Amino acid sequence: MATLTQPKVEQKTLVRYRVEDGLGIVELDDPPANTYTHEMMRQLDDAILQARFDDTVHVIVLRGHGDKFFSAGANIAYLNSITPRYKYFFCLHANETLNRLEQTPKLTIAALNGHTVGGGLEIGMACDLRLAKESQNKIGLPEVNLGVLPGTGGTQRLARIVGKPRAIEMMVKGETFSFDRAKEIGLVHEVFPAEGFWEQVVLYAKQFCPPNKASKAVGLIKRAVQSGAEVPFESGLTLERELQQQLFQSDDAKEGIAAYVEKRVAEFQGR
Amino acid sequence: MVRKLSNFDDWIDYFRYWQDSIGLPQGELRNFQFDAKFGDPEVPHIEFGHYRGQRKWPSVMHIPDQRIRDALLNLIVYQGDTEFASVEQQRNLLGHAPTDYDLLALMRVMTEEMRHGWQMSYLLCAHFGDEGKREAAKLLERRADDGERLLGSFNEIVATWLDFFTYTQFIDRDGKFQLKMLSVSAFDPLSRSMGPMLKEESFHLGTGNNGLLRIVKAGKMPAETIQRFFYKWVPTAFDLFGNDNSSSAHWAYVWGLKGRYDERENAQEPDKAKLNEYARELYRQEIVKLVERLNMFIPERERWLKVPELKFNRKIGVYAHQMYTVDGEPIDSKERYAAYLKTVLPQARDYEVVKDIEREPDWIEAKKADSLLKQ
Repeated sequence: MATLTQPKVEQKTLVRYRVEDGLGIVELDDPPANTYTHEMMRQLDDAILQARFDDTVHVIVLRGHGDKFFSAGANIAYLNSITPRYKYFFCLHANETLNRLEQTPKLTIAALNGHTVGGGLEIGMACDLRLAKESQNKIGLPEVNLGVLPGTGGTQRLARIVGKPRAIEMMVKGETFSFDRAKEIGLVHEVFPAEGFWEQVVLYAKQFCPPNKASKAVGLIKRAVQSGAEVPFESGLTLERELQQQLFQSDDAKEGIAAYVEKRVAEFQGR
Repeated sequence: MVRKLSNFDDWIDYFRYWQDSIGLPQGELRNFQFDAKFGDPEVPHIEFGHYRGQRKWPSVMHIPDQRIRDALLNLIVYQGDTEFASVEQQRNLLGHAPTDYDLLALMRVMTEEMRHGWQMSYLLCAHFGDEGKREAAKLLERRADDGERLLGSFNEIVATWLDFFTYTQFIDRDGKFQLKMLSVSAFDPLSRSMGPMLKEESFHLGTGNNGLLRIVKAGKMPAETIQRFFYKWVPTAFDLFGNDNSSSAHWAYVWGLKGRYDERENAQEPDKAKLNEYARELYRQEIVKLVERLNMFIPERERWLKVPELKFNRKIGVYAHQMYTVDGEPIDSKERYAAYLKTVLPQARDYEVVKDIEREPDWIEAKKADSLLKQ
């Protein structure tokens, strides 16, 4: 009988998490390609939950360690070492983790600081916004070349981002392409120059933090879209209404409306 | 459909195409080595508004709010639009300059206006991503001849040299005001663009002021005719300062994008609802003095030139499309107003008179070209 005991892996820090100026920064750290295992997914899950519960975190930014890879996806050697049933639970947990990321009512940004392929792009697609570093790096879902499909939400999220026909074509061809091309098709939101890339990402992310933006409204807009788009239209409207009601009662809405009337810059607090 | 530009090099190609399409002649005007020029940073921190005291923003990404970025892009687009428009307006004068000096002066003005447009386009392409490149392309697609430029003055016809000197005196002087107000901008690349532009613009104003002085001193152009051209251009210059009680100006100030003309010298708290009115009044006071100087060379007091009242023939602001005389007296019937305008604004026969006079020798005091060739 197959055992579900986790394969023995080195217990090390694979996901680094820190909070800086309202940003919860999550770094995938398993050189050389920041590929993920179940252990990394559990650490990622833990980081997402920390950021979710931390009131001082307004935006969550994911990045890869180093400057070559955001992530090349699942660790193939690791996948090769586990049973099919374990693989199934590994995928299930990865899906749950990325869903948690997607459903957290805080804006999430993937800083694609290097190659972003396979499961790496699947993590990126679970974020609300994707910012890429100008480079020769590649992005895509080439799982078909291994005889499998993008199984951490890739088939579903890619179709929702670029549309079914293009998504199918990209995935069945196993196509990888440049960030510039990704921007053309709406898979990436911005391509920033390589020099000062991280500084640009931080500046970009901080525009959504207090005092610049009402981060609670930002988070609930994200939540209304991410959750609302997956339910019938009427239910989506209901969700929208309920979230709006929360915002109507927020301190930031009071401040935002007062500042508008008084023609001054609002000082939001994220409450 | 707007031409798609990938980078500033694409814009440069498009700029060359624009020069072709408006029929700019080959030669010095086309061979000029255009460059984006930036002055040294004068003040490292934001000088006014909500973000006062913070470091100036070196890039768009440092700007904390999308609305500020949008407003900034708009300011740069409007400034850039005027630069290319003025070249389109003035190019028809190249064929009949009164003196070599004036031809050289015109060419220098046009070249520098193109450089200013180049500077604004560079900012758009370098700092504002795809949206900036789209707007930079559109700067080269609108045409003054077709009335497509964004501001009224820049769709008017510059048909004569009297137009040109009046234009550089009054419209370029508005430009000086706008550039000075942007020179204290919180967006560092914009504020540092203004130093070199203001230096160049001062030559344009000087060209207008000297040109009018030379015309008045020569005594061939009737003061009444000159006056009509002042009535044509000055109200459009007043309009360039924008709406009264302007929210846009208010926010541009609060956000630190555009200060007062005398921002660095004026310690008083501004009335943010009246920023455009304030700048317009400073401008009016300045041009009144310049016109008084012209009058020193017109012996008959009854023929003295004047600046029309702010209410006359306005298209923007609280007096827009209302009927007032040049002295600010109301006119109560449309028919009387239409007839009145014909008595004060240049009519077809006035243009003919001006063109005839401009064909005469000595209609404008001579000036040697050497002074320009040395520069």
